[in-house]
Amino acid sequence: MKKTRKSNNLKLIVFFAILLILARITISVIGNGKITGLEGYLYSIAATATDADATSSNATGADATSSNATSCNVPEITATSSNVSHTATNSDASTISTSDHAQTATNKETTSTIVNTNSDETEENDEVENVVYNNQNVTNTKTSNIEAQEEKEVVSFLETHKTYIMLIGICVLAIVVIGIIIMIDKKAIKKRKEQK
Amino acid sequence: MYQDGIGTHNVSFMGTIGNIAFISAMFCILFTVSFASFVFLDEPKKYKIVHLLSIFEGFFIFIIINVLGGRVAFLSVFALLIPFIITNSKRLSRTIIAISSIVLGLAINIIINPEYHYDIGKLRLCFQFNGTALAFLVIVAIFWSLAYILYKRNFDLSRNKKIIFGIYIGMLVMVLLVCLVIYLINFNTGILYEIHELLHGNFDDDFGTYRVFLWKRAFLLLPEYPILGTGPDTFAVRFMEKYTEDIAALGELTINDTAANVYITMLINIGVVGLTTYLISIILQLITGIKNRNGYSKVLLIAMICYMIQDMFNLWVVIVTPIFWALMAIHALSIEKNKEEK
Repeated sequence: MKKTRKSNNLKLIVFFAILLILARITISVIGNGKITGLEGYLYSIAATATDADATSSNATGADATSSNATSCNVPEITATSSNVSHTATNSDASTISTSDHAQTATNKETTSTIVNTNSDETEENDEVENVVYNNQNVTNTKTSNIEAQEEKEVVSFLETHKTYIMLIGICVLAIVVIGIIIMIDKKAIKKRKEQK
Repeated sequence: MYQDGIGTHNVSFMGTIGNIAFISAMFCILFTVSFASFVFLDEPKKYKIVHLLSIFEGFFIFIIINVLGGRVAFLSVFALLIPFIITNSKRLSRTIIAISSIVLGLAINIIINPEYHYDIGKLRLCFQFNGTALAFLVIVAIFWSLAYILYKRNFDLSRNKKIIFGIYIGMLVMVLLVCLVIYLINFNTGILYEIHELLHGNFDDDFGTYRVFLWKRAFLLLPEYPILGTGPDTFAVRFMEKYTEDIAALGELTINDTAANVYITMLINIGVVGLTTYLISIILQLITGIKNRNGYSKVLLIAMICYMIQDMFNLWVVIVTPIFWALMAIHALSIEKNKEEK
């Protein structure tokens, strides 16, 4: 036992040593800084992106996560729901067809937060200005979302009738298969008894 | 992925985990462990009850959150386990009990009928008892009787490789037949419609709740930096910049910071080298896990596979992914004993 442990540890050390040597060789061959030319690693791409336009810079780190999304004025997030079948219909599909088949009853009053990814106005220099601008700009869209959500008065958490029928069908099929397995086993038991 | 912006359901926190996709990811670990322990381990009754309660409660919530990626993962893992379940009477009996608890959850959901009322801003229970609920309750009763009959039987063919292989072939044929039916018949609704269209080569952007939109475009980013990618978490920067107009067309506030597929996101962020390294590491662990499996490691292995499958439709988040890494570590530790004994 001890021997195998020792040999395992030794193997591990050798493995890491080889790994380090390979890394060192790679660095020596490629050289510092050359990696940017080869693959345009993180910093170069991030640098070009922030220079380029508001979409990319807004959408990532600063605005979207830290300042806007979390620390905004969202006074009353009422509920998060999903799996929704609408009792009252809603014509504005674009506001509702969000990911994962789910919907949220949101804030009645949202001065939030969201980054305007479609903004063409990239001249804004200051991030804070950007946030303020975005908040103002977004209010309209958000308001239309809220209006659309208010149109549907009740959201049910049940599946559709078709899905339930399908599930019942699958269960019936499972019952039939299990029944067949029990029958086969019964026959096998009988055979064994007869052989004895 | 924030289709139509931050501020909707996708950043609302549910419990302490996060949005529904993160909950689904977490459930893929937790409930697979409970399910596999309940079915495969011969533990004392008190543990069985705890696992059964966990399955019931978990799937009840899962029915409500309704994340397709999680469902696909559970079903895939269940399909992989079917040959080892139906060839053993005890396992089959326990599986039926577990499934009946899920069906019971469906019935209870119909009976309590939770509804969210926007006008009063409250969730209400609008009790009802209809034919569907009755059908589910009848099914539960039948399931329990079948489970009882099977519990009294004593067959175990799970070590017969020929039978297991035969069942897998049979299942494959069935899957192909189902695909053929979906190919020929247009169900006009839901996931079946999407599969029908995909089989006809129509990769519409909004399929898979916009995952097709992301995957199609993400692959086009690969040739730019194929080997090492552009670094961790750079997907959003590149994707948003390149497809600004397409994204805006989905909704003005849309943000796409991942490909909604861990492997594709890795491919873009850390390139072929990074993804291959990751895949090699998990494949090696899977192979070692299968070779040196024991009762407990089997349970963890099943949970790992389930999580890896749901990764195809999800993203890594700091609240769930470390649990996956911990799971892998515990699994590695659990098979170490077997290796030493050998």
